[in-house]
Amino acid sequence: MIASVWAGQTVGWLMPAEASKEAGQIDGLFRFMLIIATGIFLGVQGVLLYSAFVFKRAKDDMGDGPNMHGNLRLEILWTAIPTALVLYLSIYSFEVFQLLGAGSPMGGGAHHEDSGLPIRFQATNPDPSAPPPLVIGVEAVQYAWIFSYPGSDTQVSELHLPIGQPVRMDMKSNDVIHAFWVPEFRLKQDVIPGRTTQVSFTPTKAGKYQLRCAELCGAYHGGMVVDVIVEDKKDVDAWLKSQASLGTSTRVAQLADPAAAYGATSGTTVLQSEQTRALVGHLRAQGQ
Amino acid sequence: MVETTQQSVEQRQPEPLGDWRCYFSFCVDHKVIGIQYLVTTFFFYLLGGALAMVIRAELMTPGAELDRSLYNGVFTIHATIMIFLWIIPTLAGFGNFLVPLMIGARDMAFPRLNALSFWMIPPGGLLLLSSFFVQSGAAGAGWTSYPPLSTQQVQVGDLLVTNFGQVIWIASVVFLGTSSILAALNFIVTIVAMRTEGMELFRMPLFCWATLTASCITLLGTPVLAGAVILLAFDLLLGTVFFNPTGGGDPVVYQHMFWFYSHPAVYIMVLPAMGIISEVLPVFSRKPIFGYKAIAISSMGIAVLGFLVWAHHMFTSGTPDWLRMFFMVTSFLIAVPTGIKVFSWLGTIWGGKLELSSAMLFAMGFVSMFVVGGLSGIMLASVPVDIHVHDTYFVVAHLHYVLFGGSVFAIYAGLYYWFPKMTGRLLNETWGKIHFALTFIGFNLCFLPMHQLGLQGMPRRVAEYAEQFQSLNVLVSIGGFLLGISTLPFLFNAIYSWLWGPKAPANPWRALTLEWTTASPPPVENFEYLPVVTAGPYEYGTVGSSPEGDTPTAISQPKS
Ligand code: HEM
Ligand SMILES: [Cu+2]
Ligand SMILES: [Cu+2]
Repeated sequence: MIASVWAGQTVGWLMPAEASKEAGQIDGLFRFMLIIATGIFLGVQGVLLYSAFVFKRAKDDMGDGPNMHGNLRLEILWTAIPTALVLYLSIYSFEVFQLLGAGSPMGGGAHHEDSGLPIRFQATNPDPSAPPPLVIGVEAVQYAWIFSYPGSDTQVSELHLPIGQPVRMDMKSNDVIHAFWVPEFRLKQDVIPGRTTQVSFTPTKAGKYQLRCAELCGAYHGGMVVDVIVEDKKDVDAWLKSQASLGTSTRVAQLADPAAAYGATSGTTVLQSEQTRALVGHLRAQGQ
Repeated sequence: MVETTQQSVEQRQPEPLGDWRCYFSFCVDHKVIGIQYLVTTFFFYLLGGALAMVIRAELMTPGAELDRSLYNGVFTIHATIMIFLWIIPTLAGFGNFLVPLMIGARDMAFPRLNALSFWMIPPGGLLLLSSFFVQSGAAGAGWTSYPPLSTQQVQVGDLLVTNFGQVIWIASVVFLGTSSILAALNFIVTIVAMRTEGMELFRMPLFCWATLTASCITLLGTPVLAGAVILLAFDLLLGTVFFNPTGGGDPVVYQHMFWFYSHPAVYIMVLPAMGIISEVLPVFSRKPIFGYKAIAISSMGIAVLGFLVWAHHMFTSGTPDWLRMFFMVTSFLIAVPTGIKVFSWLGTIWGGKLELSSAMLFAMGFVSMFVVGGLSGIMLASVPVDIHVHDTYFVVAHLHYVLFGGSVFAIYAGLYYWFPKMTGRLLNETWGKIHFALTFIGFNLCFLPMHQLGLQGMPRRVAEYAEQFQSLNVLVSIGGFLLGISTLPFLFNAIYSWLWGPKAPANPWRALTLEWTTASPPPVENFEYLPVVTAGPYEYGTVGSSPEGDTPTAISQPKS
């Protein structure tokens, strides 16, 4: 018992910082499951270890144990308790799932025009009083992230988010599947060619985090990492303005070059690694 | 309980089993085929393990030392070998050797088909390995091979070439899949039609139940996988657009087809392993298995539910919410039959007279490690948590607790347990215990910290990672290398004992299942007289036991 509760406390160092409104909910659910799991784990290990010592047979004892085939009451018990437990977990998880996302958690991450769902399953806003989300366009390409902010036709290569403002990412890919994941926000959503997928959340803690691609997308998948900066709204606006005044080539040159970021073998300078070249090609083709 | 049979022995050909040459031939004896399976797949296990060492060496440092495409090829082929050339076929090897002996049959139902399904494995494996040498390099899209990545052309120097490594991967998977379909068919017919007199379904050893269940899954699931990868091959080679969004196809459809097979496939990899555990625990606890019927029926429950949970691998793939909730609940539910098994195993050893042999240690190790994989599996089933840890090292930790701490531990338990029956020689127990200790420590050192890596933010399938993750990764790699080393005592023990070990009696463990009523190794047609079964397989502690506790529940003697 004590150990299980202690395990619950370890979530603090098992998980990275909680930097979104959603993170706390998810960590709570995870902590609950970790406590239960630790209890079951210790119980099973305890029985195994206890048996190994206490029921170890004496060297010359060639006899058998009792001819015991089962115990119906015990078996009903250990069917019923886990069933109740997982049903409770289903309800708990469902509730957390509903709370996820400042905007629309019920959209399934994917918005096809025709999702074939009855209307009540479509996106609903759980909290109508919340401000409308800031919608940021995300384009994932091998191997970089390109963001576009509303009211500005500049494409930028870094994500700056205002604190406390609900945001929604509308994500697209033209090549392969990528996945949007900021560990501190606890949310992940695949970016799938041929459709727009969405993820909504509210950043709550200022700081510099990393957006890491979480779906294998080719040779430089591990390098598809870019900074996410959560800061005051006015800083975000100032940064956007400064970006808009830069020429495209400068902005492209600012794109994180994964190969360069990890020194060791690459030694290549910005714009020289294969994937950055591919990216620049892509941007040119887009007419930038 | 003593009964006799009137069936007499048919004329037999001269004993071929002692001849080493038959192991390299198209031999149709199920015992030879079983051993061919086990030895061949162990060889592939060592290769897959060597690739794992390459992965762990690369991950000692945050930077990428290997060529990145090569790294992707290495972990793709590592996983493919481990799944399609080690766990699945090695469990089929146990099935081949054991099922006819356990149900009192003289051979499998279709001996030649049986030989064919084995002989598809070496070429299938060599084909897969050959992909490292084609111009495009080996397949590098992971063992899941999601399009469009898997159908993309690859860059070699300045050229874009068709991904022939991927084509080879597909061919090899289809080939190996066909082999396992044939084997499954053979198991089902054998178990349904060839049981000896008195061997009712509910008197079968639980390993036979597990093989029967796993074979049904194989038969239903594998064709869907074949369909998925063949469509992938069309996209790659013929320019069709089944999964290609630019032509109107949908890459997510592939994921559904792939996981429709590949989730049930984890039960193909773990049910027979659980069957092995259900054999080993009663023998070394000297007690009947606890809840025989519950274990047999929960396998069936797992098999049925197993076909209803596949989309839990796709919680972040744009799966609609109501579907995510549906698959979350079914995935949670599958914990119930799994729990029944674990608790029944604990009930089996509780109050017994435990002999802590190497086989027993690995079996208890299985229970203890499989529980960890099961518990992290429950966490992954919960959509909000999975949204955070999907595609991270947390998943890598989970799958290794299930596949290594589960299946591989069970395979070792089975090898220690049946080695005397298979070879007629006893393994050395001291070396066995050293092997167990090294494996257990190495395993936990390697895979436990991976949970934290995943939670903290390290994605899977990456050759480079943020510096903050280095210290844990070094720990993991050390554990990995220790695991690599841990196979050496086993290899040494197995080879030495096979050649020079002490001769084994027919029933060294005083077990009650039928395979132990015949000589070690068994003669060509298994039994001199087909046994007649009069009771269940685990009647330890019955009144009729002789002082040595050595009364089999079936007797094969000529009518006197
Ligand atoms: C010495 C033992 C082993 C070590 C050190 C090891 C290491 C690893 C590592 C580090 C990965 C992650 C690769 C990546 O995502 O970048 C991996 C993946 C994997 N391994 Fe192992 N492994 C071992 C044994 C096994 C065994 C016995 C099995 C199967 C029974 C297995 C099945 C897999 C599978 C299915 C994957 C997933 C690959 C993917 O993401 O595509 N491994 N292994
Ligand atoms: Cu990626
Ligand atoms: Cu699954």
